[in-house]
Amino acid sequence: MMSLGLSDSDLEQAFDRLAQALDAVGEDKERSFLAALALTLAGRMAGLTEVDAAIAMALRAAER
Amino acid sequence: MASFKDQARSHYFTYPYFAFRRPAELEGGGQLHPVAIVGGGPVGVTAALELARFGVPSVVIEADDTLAEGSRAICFSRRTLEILDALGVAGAVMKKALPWTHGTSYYKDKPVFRLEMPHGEHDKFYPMVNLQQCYLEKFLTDRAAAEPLIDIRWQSRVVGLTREADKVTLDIETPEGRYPLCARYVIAADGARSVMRQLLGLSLHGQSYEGRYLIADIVLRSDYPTERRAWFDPPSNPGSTVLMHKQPDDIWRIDYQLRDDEDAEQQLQEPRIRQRIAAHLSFIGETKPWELDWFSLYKAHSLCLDDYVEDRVIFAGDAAHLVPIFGVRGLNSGIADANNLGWKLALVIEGKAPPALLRSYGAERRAATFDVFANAGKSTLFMTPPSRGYAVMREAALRLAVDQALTRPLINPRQSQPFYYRESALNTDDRAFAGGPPPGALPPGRRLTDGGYLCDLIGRAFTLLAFDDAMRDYLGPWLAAQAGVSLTVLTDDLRADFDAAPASLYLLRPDGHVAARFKARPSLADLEAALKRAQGNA
Repeated sequence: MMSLGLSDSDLEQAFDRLAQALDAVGEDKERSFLAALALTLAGRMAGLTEVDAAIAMALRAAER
Repeated sequence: MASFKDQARSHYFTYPYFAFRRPAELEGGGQLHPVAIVGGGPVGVTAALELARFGVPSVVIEADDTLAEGSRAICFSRRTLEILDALGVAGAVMKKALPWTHGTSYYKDKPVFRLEMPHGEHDKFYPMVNLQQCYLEKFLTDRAAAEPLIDIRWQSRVVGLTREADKVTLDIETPEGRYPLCARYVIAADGARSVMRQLLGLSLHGQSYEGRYLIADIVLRSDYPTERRAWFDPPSNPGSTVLMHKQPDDIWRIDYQLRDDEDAEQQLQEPRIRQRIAAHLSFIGETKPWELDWFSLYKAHSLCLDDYVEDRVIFAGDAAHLVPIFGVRGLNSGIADANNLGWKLALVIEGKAPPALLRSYGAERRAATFDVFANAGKSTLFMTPPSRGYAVMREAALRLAVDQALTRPLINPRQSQPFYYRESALNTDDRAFAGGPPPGALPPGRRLTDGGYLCDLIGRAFTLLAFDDAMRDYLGPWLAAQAGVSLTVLTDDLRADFDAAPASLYLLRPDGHVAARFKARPSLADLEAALKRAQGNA
C-alpha cells in the first residue's frame, strides 16, 4: 500500500500540471514521456516494495 | 433555448399567465420609484423581497407573461434555503422539494466516489434540495404578489435607458404602448442575455469551455432515493459523462455530455435524445415507461462583468456573471447576490448609509464569483476535459479510483458553499480570537435552547451576539440610541463555537455574515466605529 503523500489541493495541482505536460509534449511523444515520468518517480521511492505496489495498481487500472 | 413543446404541455407544472396591467405612467402619472428591478426571475424577485423586508418598495419589470420554462436550476443549497426562509418562502419550498445528502460517481459501472454532505441536529435545512426552478419562481412570485411593497409589471420590456446624476429613466415597451419609468436605483437581474448589459455597452469577460451538455427532464416513476449520480464513460453512452437528479413530481433530470465529434444539431433531434436516454435507463435497470418533458443544450462559462455596480445600475445574478453548472452555483450565487444587495441598497435609499456602501456589494460578490470560478472551473476541467492531456489524466484518475482512494478527491463535485467575505472593507477583526467565525464568514449552524436556530437571526437588523447577560446592562443605553441594531444573548454552551469569553461580542450584518468581533468587552466607541464601518461609513 502506498502512502497518500499529497494533500487534496496538491493532488489537484499535480493533476493539472501532468495534464498540461501531456498537452505540451504531444500525442506522439506521450508514451516516452509517461515512461520517463514513471521511472523518475520510481527512482524517488523508498524501495522496490513500493515500486511493485505502484506497478500493480497501474496494471489493474489499465485492465479496466 | 431549445424546446420541443410549449409551456402549456408540461407533464407536471401548470404555467400561470400573468396579464398586463396598465401602470400609472401610461395614464400620464408616475413617480420617482426608489428602486426598479429589471427581470422578474428568481434573482429579481428575491431582490424585491429583500428590499420589502427592509420597507423599501420596488417595481419589477418582466418581459414575459409567465415563469421560465423547464427545470433549469434544480439544486438549492442550505444557505439559499436560509435566505429564502428569512423571506418567508422556504416553507413552500420545503413542502415540495426533495432533500439529499449523498451522491455517487461511477466509472463505467463501478462506483469510484461517494459524496457525503454533513447534516446534523444543528442544521435547520438539508445541505441540498432538488426543486424545479419553475416551482421556486412560483413560490417567490406568490410571496411577492402578497407583498404590497412589490409591483411586478409583466409583459413589460426595457428598450432604452437614460442615466442622470440622481436617477435612471427606463424606456418601457408594453402591449399598450411605451412609457418612461424613473427610479433612483436600478437592479439589472435580467439574466444571461441581459438587455441592461447591452444598453450600457457592457460585456462579460472570462473563459468559455468547449464541452457541451444536453440537459433533459423525463417523467419516470422510480423509487431510487434522491442523490446526485454521475457516470463517467458509461457503457450506455461511451465517451460521455451522464448526471442524474431526482426532482419532485416523478421528474428526473438527466444531463449528458456531447462528445467533441458529435454534431449538436443532430443530437438535439428528439428521437436521438430519446435513444440516448433509453440506453442509459436500461443500463441502470430502470424498466418502467418514461416520457420526455423538456430539454435544452448547455455550455459552461466562467464570465463576469468587470464591475457589478455602474453608478445607479447594479447587476445581479446571470446578468452579472455566468458560472459553470457543475457544483450547483448558478442560481445559488444569484440568490446570494440579492441577499447581499438588499440590505445595503435599503440603507442607502433610506439615507442611513452612503452610496459607497454599494461598492462593497460589487467587491464582495465579485470575490465570490471568482471563488466560484476557481471551484467550478476545476469541476468543469474534470467533467469536460478540454484537451487530450486532461482526458488522459482523467481516465487514469478514474481507473485508479475503482480500488484506490488516492485519486478519489479529484472526482469530488465540489458542491456550492457559502462564500466568506474575507477581504471585505466592512470587516473589523480582533486578533485575540483563535477560533470562531471571522469577519466576513457566517456563524455555524446551531440549534438554540428555545427550539429556534442561529440562522433565524438573519433579519431586518444588525445583530449583536453576546455571551453573558451582563452585556445587556452594558449595551442597553447604547442600543436604545441605535436604530436597526438588536441584541441576542446566547447560552454558555455556544461560547466554544465562537471562541468567546463571557464579555466577547460579535456584530452580524443583516445578511447574517459577521461584520466585527471583540474578544474582550469593547468600548462603546469601538463598537460604534465597527457598526459605522459595516454600514460603509469608514
